[in-house]
Amino acid sequence: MNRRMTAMLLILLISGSAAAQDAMIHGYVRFKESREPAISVNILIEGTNRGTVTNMKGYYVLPGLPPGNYSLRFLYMGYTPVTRRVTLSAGLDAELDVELIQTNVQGEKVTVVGERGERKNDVVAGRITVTPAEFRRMPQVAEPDLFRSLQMLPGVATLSDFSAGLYIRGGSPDQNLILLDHIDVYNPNHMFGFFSTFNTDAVKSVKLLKGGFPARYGGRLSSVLDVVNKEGNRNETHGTARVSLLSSSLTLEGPWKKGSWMGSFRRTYLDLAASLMDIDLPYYFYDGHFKVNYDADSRNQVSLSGYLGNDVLDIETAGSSISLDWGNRTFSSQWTHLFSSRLFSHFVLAGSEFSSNTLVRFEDVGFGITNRIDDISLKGMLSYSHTSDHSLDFGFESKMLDFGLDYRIVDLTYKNRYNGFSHSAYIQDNYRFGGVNVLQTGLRLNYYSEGQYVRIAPRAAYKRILSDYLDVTLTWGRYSQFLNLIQQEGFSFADMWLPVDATFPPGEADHLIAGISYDPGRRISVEAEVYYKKYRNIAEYRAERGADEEFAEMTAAMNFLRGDAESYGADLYIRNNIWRLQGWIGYSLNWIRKQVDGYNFDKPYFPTYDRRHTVTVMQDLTISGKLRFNLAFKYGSGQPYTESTARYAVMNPSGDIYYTDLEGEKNTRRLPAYHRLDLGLFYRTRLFSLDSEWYLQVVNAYGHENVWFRRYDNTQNPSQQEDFTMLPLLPTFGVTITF
Amino acid sequence: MTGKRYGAFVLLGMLIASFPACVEQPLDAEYEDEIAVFGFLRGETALDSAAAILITRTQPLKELYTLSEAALSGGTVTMTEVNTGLMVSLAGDSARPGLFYNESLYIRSGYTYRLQITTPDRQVSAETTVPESLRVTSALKDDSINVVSPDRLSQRVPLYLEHGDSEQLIVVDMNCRETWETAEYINPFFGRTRPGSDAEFGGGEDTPPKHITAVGRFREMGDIDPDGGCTISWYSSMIAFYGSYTLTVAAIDDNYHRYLTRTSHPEMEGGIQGGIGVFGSLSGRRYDLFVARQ
Repeated sequence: MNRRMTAMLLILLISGSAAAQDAMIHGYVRFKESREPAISVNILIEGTNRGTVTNMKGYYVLPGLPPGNYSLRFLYMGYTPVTRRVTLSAGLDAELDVELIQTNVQGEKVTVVGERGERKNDVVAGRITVTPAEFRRMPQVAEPDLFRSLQMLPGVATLSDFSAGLYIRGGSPDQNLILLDHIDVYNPNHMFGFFSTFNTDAVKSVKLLKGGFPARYGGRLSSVLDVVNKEGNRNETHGTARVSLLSSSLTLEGPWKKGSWMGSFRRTYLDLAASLMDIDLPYYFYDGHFKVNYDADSRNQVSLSGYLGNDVLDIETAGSSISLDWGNRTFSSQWTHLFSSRLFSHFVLAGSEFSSNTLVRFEDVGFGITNRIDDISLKGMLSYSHTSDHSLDFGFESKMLDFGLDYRIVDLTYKNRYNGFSHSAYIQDNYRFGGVNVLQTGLRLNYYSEGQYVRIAPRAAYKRILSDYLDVTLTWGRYSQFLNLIQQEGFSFADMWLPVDATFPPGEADHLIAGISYDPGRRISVEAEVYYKKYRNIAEYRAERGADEEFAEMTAAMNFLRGDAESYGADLYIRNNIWRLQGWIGYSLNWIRKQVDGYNFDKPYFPTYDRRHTVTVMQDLTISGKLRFNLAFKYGSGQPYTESTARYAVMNPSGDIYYTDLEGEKNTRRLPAYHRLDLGLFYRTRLFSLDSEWYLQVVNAYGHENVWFRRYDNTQNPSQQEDFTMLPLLPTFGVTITF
Repeated sequence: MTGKRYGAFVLLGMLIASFPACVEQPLDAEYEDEIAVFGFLRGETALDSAAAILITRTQPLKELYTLSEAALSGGTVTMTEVNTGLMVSLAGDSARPGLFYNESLYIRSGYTYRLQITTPDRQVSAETTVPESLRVTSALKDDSINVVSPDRLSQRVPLYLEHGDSEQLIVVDMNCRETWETAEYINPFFGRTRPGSDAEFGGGEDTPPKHITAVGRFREMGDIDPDGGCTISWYSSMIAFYGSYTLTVAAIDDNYHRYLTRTSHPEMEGGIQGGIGVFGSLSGRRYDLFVARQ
């Protein structure tokens, strides 16, 4: 079996076969303290330009090496670099497993090594990898939150303090592919979009691809957020307990037989705290992650992971009630198999379910919406390393999608059911030539059953390594999306996903990105990219309903208006590790314009998340082994809003006259600039013989009144402009205990 | 050139290249001078002062708004009965600025009427076809106030509807006539007995609204009986406050339907050419209710 597959792959390879006398080095890289696989570790062959990175399972392979002595250097942020010497004989496969040791556990000191090795062998535009340690070094609202951390990165725009939605380089949140252990998470929000669903204590790694993503990823138009759960400590049992003003969480992990396990649970207690003060606040959310791994042998690993999260709001008052609940459930079973040292494979059978129920009842009548998504996916991701300069990635993805959308209006229920199959296959050739050129060419074929849509998505990326410090990249890719989101801008709880059908074509986008990376050493690194994205067939929710349109069996064209958009701009990302100061400074420049048929008088407009300039500063100062201070500052030029242009009198058929304002074209004016400074102080100590870290954070430290939205109070004459502001100065505190 | 210098040069070049386009275009929303029309023709009724059409001009948002300032002046307003060619001029109501009528014009169901407004700088026109009358049979009185006891709200008063066209658009509209300052909840809302603002009274902030409208085709109103009629009633949940209400049950035209059902810029969807608002028509019954405090 292995030989047959290998032979087939060899035929596919463009380049000639490696010399028979060549040898290879391969193995796994793990963290010593937990023996978890180390993802994206840079492996450099010293004295050469060659190198590679570990994959999602910590596996690496350096094939096609001539016999001789080699010195391999393993580099990873926050871990002491490791050097290993290997002597290779002709035709020999050397297996070299490495364990990395954390540099400074007490201070969570992170070494900015850059990702030089990764950059030399790979071309992925707009990639930013964030570790959980980095989340925890940022001041946050109440507790660490993945999406809010990502909002501090250049190229990631925000809508408001109340939204954790990710607006990446002009893309809207529905255009982000969000994966948790390789399965889509459809509505990753808690608390009406205030928080994301991921408990950072359970997360192992987060990779954000802001555009131009490779052929392995598909199904969304804008970006990819690839989240991987912790596998669990393979050495000993550990735990982390976190108590904040908002919630408490407990994460446990440990070894079992030939593997590991991890479990994490979090619940808010606003409802419980409020009831103690005799306040009725019937809202809470909870979520849980789990993962079990079994390392069958050096060639086979299996894992099973899951996620469960729910938000519940239940308001009951005399004569009326409001009941909302929404949540995600996912499972992911994974099998990693080495067909040979060169052929790595990863297979996933996974499921994702999102459901939301909204019911508003007045006396004896009710109005409600029930939305459900079931996604069962089978994926295969394979990678064949022919030589250290040439590799091939290929794979497939099949999805069985089942959507339900029911409207309850008084006594009647209107049902909508949509079923579809999505199939994709991809291949990507990664070729390094002349020592300084890296070329990736890929192709992804996508098919969706409803409408029989076939979309060909070519990808190409080129990198030129100009020096040890400097490289430039050019990336182009085409992307398609078969799902659209009915979303109310700014709030996310019962957002509804609906697939395309024969009445509404799939969305498409082209990305063109040029970048430069300057990484002169350990102190500082600079990345800059300019980009252009062109979107076609984007979907805007069609709120209007004609008299003859039923709420049942609605087509996609009844739910959405078709439009086009373009986005362009530049990101600058400067990371520093100077003295005791670590962090980054980011700058984003962005334009996004949409034009949607039958919307805004058919004129182009800036969506609400269009923000011309954004500056972010995140710095963490290690004062001592016990004490850290950090700050996060964000400045954003004003967001657009729709201005009223006049006032007029309205009369209803009863003859009542009242006054209202006349709205102009959408988003032609700008709100005042946004800026906010958050500060945090962290102190490590022992509590009941356990390591603990206490924190005090101040959100919006100088209490700037950032405008959330603006409207006119027409009960006043003349009309009075009213500004509604975002978060005030907000101190929070909490503690994290590890054991 | 060393790598470091080269990199700095390219970075600087990229930034300089991107900055000239950074200057924000001033996109001021200027005052929109529009003629606003709100007219609802009622079948089998004279276009008298009670059915007058409101015609005003918009006013700058941040200036004091008065109807006398806003009322249309210096223009002519005519109404043409398209089926017969009869054209009449509408005169302004001297006591109520902005309202225009001509009581000699009798509005007839099934007829089409064209409104024409001519000012030195504008031509505004609109047209509506008055729907055939919706026949409503009910124990409710339409010539006096129907007093309703709050504890009997759930005991629905049936209204028997009949219309020859099952596709006819129908509106059931319950409108509280109180002001937000005088309105009082029948069932306290989160402990409050009165709305805290006009927005709350109007249904904002997830609160019970003062005005609830149901719109649909006649066939969607309920089960049609063998005689072609159907029975509906108001829901107690349409009444959140004590005080005066108007219940309208009527057949409506397309203009009014579009105006009612559009969530974005409904004033552009009411059939007014060259202006904003709605020129609609309805034929049915209107009942006055009063929900008395016990």
